Amino acid sequence: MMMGSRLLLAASLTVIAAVGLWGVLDSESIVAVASAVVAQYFESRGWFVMLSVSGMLILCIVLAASRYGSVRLGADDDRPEFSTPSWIAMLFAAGMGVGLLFWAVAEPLTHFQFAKTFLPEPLAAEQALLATNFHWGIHAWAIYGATALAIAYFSFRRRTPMLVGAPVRNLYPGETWAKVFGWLSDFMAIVAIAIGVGGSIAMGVFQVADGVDVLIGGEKAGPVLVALVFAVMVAAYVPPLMVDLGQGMARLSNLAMMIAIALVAFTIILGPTQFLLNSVVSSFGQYAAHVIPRGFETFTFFDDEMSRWFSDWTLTYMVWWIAWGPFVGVFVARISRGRTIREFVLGVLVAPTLFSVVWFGSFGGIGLYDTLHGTGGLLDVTTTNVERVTFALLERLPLTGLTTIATILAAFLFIVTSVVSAAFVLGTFSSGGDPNPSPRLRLIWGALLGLLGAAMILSGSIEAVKKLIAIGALPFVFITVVLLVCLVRALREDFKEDRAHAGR
Amino acid sequence: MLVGDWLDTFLNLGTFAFIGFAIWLLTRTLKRPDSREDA
Repeated sequence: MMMGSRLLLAASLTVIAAVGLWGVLDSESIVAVASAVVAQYFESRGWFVMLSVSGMLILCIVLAASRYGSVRLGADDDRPEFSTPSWIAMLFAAGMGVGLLFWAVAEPLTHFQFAKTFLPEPLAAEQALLATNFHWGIHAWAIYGATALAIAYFSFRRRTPMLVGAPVRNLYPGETWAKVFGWLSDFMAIVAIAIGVGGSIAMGVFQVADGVDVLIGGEKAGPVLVALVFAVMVAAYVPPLMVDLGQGMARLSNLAMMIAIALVAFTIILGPTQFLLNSVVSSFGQYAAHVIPRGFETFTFFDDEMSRWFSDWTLTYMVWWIAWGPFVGVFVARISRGRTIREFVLGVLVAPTLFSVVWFGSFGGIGLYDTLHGTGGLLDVTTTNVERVTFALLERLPLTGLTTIATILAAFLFIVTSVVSAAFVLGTFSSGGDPNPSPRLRLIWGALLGLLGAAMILSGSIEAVKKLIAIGALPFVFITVVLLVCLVRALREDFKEDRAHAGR
Repeated sequence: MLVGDWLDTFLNLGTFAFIGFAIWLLTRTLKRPDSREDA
């Protein structure tokens, strides 16, 4: 074990267990503290978050377009392990997962509800889709892509362990600040991943419980049902932690992805097809036209209501993606070995973004269709019971039973596969970079993730969950920037050296 | 009054200090640029 890694393991287990217990014992006070810190942080640092996120996008584009684009992530004769379509499916399932099912209809309608208080309805609808596409679009993937690039580059080309703190230790060896910063980065990565996955468990449990409740004809999932779903989910992810399933997990997450694709196709074909296709094309145009300026938009000159919306949604999402960066980054790095930086950036940034635009253009589009041309029932559900919106939509389409079960299954699979892979990554991080952490360590992390999930469920609402995730993620706004500085330095150094070798 | 909140100012100055730190990391010359071993 590396020096300091025992301390890392002890410190991270203690902190996570403490946060989990605090949340379980007194969920009200933890939410209050998280809200206060997040409010203060976001108010004063919105500019920095947007600037660094836009910076990551620009960095990715510049790297792909420059001479560094042909650098291979791996040895020069390595070739990709997965076919491009299967690589993209895995990327997407890892990066978005259950949130996609949860927010498909709910997010565009929530933005619409807000925007129509100061805009005419058609413009509010356009703005609602634009905001949603921005939150789930290319900036999110640039955050993942940039983090994954740094991790992949150092571990494949400079043979460091797959740790967030490794690049800084590799580049500035023997310097005290680098040791401290590296240790803190590893520690913070563990905290951010654990809290993020805990939140994801809560979101998935809320979603699945509501789906089951729809099937049995209830009005709103009660605590007993939520507890039951939570217990089943824990029971489902424990066995895969004990045995090494290898490709099994990837297959399950691909299955979840296939269900998601089938659902969007089903909605487009059986729903108001012409309206939905128009909606996809029009929202794509809006997004393409505004994507770069929107990345710098901080809504400074608007009222407090708007600032609150901006920090509750845009900033929360951006920080959320940053928090998922190390987790998704390690996974994306592993599956991208053998690709060049140019291939990597194109695949990671462009394909998932296009899928998001189709996804929200269709699901958001049908929600808006219902609001503008139908009964408007979905908008009411969004205000009263946001967990239920996806199912409320399926109730308005044929084959409700089948599609509801498929959605529940997909949500379930997304959660189980992300908990299993998170326990794996957490095991790797907390053992100082061991790529195959022991089953015992994976099980401990699985249990702690369950505890955090329970804490988040007890916090009672998705808004509280979002706040808790944001607070775990805050330090990463800074750590990721340092990671990218390391990437750029290493690329420049290695390139100079290669040229020197070539000239000899 | 146009005077800002002190905590706000403090946090933002801290952020600027961080940006300075990042630029320093990116541009400074290393004593042993060939060193490759991980700490």
